[in-house]
Amino acid sequence: MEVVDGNIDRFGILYERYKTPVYGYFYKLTSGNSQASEDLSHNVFFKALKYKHSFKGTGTFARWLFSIAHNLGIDYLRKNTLYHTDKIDPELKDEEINGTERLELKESKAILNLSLNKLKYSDREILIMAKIRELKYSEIAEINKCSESAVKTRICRALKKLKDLYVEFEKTSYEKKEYYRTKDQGSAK
Amino acid sequence: MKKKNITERKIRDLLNDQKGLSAEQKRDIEEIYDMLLNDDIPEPPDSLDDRFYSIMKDKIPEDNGNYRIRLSGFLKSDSFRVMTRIAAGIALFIIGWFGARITDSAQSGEKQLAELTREVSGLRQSLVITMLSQDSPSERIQAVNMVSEMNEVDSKIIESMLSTLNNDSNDNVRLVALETLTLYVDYPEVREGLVKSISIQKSPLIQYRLAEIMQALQEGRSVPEFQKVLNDITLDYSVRERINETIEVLL
Repeated sequence: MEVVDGNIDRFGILYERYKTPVYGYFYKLTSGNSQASEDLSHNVFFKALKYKHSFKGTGTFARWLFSIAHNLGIDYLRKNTLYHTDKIDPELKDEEINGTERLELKESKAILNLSLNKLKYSDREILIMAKIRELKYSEIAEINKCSESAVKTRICRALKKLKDLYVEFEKTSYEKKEYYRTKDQGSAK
Repeated sequence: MKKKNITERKIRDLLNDQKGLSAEQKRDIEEIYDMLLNDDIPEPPDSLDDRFYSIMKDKIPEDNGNYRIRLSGFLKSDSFRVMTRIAAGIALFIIGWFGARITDSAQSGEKQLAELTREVSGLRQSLVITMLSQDSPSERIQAVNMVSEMNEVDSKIIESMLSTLNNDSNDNVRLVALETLTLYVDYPEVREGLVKSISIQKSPLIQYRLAEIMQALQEGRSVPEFQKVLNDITLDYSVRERINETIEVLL
C-alpha cells in the first residue's frame, strides 16, 4: 500500500520478490521462450507500476500481480495464434516434438516439460499457477474467477492428463532407446 | 526443508478436498504434482533488471525519500555503464585536447572547438554501432535512443539503423529503430531504406506504422512495396485496411 500512496521506490522490493515467479510463470507458459518471457515479465511490472492505483489492498499483491500476468498471457496466446499458429492451444508441432524427443527424453524433467507443453493452454496455465509457491489455491481461484473447490478440481484433472502424457512419453522414450540398443547390438555383430 | 514443507502442504491441501478418488489415482496425482512442484524455474536474465530499473528511474520523483533502491538499480543499469564509457572517452579527449593546446598554441580556438565537437560526435557514433551489436535488447534500445539525440548522423549510423530495422530479432528494438529513423527522413538514404524495408517486415505493428509514415511523407515509391505485402494472405486484417488506405491516398 505504500507504493499506492506514492512511495514508488518501495516497488523495487516487490519487484525483487516476484521477478523470479513471474518470469518462471511465462517461461513455462511459452514453452521456454526466454525472449518472450522477458518481454512479458517486463510488461507485467510496467503495468503494475502504471496502474498501481487499481490495487485496492483487498487481496494480496501476488494475486493482483498474477492477474495482470494471466491477462498478458492470454493476449500473448491470442497474438501468437493469430500470427504464428493456426491452433487455439500453442502445442508443439509434431516435428518439434520428435526433435525434442530425440534430444531430451532421457531426462525425467524433460519428459515432464514436454508433457506440460502438450496440455491445452488452460490446463497448462492452471498447473503453472499451482506450481508457484507465492500463490494459494484461493488466490488462483480469484484470478480465474471461480471457487476454490472448482480450482482444485481443475488442477486435479489437469494433473491426471499430465500424468497420462508423462507415462506415454516415458514409454516412447524407453521403446526408442531399446530399439537403438538392439540396432547397435545387431550392427556390432 | 522449507521448500519441501510447502510442497507437501500444497499436495495435502489439494488431495484432502478431492472425494471419490481411488488410492491409486491419489498416488498418481501426488507423484506428478511433486515432480511439477520440484521442477526448477530459471532465474530471469539481468536484462529484465535493467529494463525494470530504467522505468523506475523515470517514475520516481526527485523528492522521493528512499534513494537506496534507485541507486542500486541505476548502478546495475546499462545507462550507468554507457555513461561511464562516454565520460571516460570524453575525459580522455579533453586531456588530449588540452595537451595539444599547450604544445601547439598557434592553432585557433574555434578550429579546436570544432574538432573537439567532431571527435566527441565520432566517439558517440562508434559507441552506438558497438552497442547495436550487443546481445541484450535493452542495450540495443539504448543505442537506438542515443541516435535520436544526435543532431546529425553519418551514413554508417544510417546503415546500422536500417540494418537494425530489418534484421533485429526483437520487435521492440525494430520499432524503436523505425521511430528514430523517422527523425531523419530528410536524408534520401533513410527514405529509400524505409521504402525497401516495407516488404521485409513481418511484425504487424511495424507494418502498420510504416503505412502511417509513408502516407505522412507522401512517398509514392512505397506503393509497389505495399502491394507486395498485400499479396500475403495471412496479413493481419487491420494492417491490410491501413495499407489499403495509404495506397488510396498515395495513388
